Amino acid sequence: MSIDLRKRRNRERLVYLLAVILMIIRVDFWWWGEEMPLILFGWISVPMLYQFGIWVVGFALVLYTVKYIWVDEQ
Amino acid sequence: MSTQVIAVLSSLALYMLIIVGIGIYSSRFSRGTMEDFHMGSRDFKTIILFSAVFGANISAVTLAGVPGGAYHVGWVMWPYFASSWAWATPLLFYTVGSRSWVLGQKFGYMTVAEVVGGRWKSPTLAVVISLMLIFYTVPYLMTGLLGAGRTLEALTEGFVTLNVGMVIVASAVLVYLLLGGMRGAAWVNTFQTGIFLVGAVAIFVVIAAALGGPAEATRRVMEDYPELLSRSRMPWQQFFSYGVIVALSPIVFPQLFMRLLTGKDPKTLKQTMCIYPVPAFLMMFLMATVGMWGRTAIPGLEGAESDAILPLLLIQFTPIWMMGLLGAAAFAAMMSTMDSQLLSVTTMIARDFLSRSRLKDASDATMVRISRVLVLVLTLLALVLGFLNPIGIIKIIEFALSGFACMLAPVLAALYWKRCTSQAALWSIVASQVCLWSFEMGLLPASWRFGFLSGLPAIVVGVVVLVAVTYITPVPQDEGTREYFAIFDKTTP
Repeated sequence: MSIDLRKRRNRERLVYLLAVILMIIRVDFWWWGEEMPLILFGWISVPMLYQFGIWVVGFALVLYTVKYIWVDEQ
Repeated sequence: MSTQVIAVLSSLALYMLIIVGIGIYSSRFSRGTMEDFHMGSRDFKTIILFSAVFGANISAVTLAGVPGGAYHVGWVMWPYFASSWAWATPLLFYTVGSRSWVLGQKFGYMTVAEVVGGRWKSPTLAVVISLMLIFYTVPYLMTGLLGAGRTLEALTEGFVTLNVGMVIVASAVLVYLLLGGMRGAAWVNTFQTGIFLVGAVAIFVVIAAALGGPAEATRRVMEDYPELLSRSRMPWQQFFSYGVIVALSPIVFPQLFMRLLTGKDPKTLKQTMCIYPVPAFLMMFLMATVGMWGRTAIPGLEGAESDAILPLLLIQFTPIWMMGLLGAAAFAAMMSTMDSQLLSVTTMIARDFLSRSRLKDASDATMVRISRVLVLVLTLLALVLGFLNPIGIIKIIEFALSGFACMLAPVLAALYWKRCTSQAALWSIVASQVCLWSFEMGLLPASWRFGFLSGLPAIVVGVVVLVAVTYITPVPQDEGTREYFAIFDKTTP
């Protein structure tokens, strides 16, 4: 196995590991059921921002996969 | 006839004319082959591919179910989908899509069953997979028609009845599918995706303005229904398990899987993957937020009545022309899913069953004619089911997503696990489906689920059985395994 391929396989494993972690920590049970103040623009709360953050990181994983893992196939 | 009915019917007539026109135009490019009718000759570029894939995934759930759900449980409805499905499904476009696309190019595969069955050269496994996927897809066809019929009935204040509405929608889908096949559907989906994305943004902006702005609308929710902001109406176990199910299932939807194989090259798949998360997030965020705000504006809706919260808000707060836009957006979302499901079931019957029967030597022209007849028959079947609206079918739909998600483990094993055997894949499917159905029918106690949706333990059981049976059966020595991994070693990371 070439060094390049090994690198890509490791990156692939890292992406899947992070995806699993994201799926778990998206359940923000520490805030679940609590009334939180609307801190941004008067209509966005911290748990909303947290969920948005999960989406942002997930989106970054998608972009990373396209750029650094899924390459050179014909 | 009221002004509202005239506005709705006019805009829908215009919408139908456009999609039928696109269907007729696309037929000029038809090559009359199976490959062209079912896969659009696999030459779709990014925008068409993205629209075809996204349109196949966005259905009545987004424009009715999500705002309806948010009306009762609050803003949690958008992360319910957006913080899992919106990024995890595109990630699976790489995991499953990249290797399946290569196999599609190499062997001409079109369906999930061909890809998995081909790995072990197992017709039995292919037939079981195809039957399961058809079983879970056909009821969806019926609900798509029912949803469209109900929307038309509501928007026209009963002027167009449910049954007539279903016939109108089915007829429009039939025209562009029969004429253009996959190409016609994908081109129409491009127009439809534009309509429902623009429609969703317009609806959000107009409703927010009518309610005094997002801050004022949310403040009212905070005062009158604080539970909609605290998420106390949804247990976290449900949030977690649905997140897993809704992330893992779409890639196994036959309509979505097939469309991934229609990309011209890997670059189009990659670009589709990069675009997908943004509108996916946007649609869920906008629709759930409007649905939650609707609770203070139009209180008192019970159960599934809240699925009509969008049209109700528009009737109360917006100019009449917005009704037409909502109608067009709702139809675009429903029809894009419906046409893709109709074509995918047709493809599965043609490829997974007829091509293995006495018709295997039939010419392409004959098979395309048969495919067109199948499209017609399946549409009629969906219409009849819609007219009857049987309770049993509705029950199937409630857990169809879990049924699809249970199929992912054998698909991944076929593409990535050399040691895995066909027996393991088969028993994994059987065990997970039996587990799912046993929970849903009450044969297994609900306490064994620990508050999670029944799809989650069913997926776990499927994976455990897959691993266990793999190691108690001999190492596969078949030609399919050698072929697949020789190809993957050369073409994929």
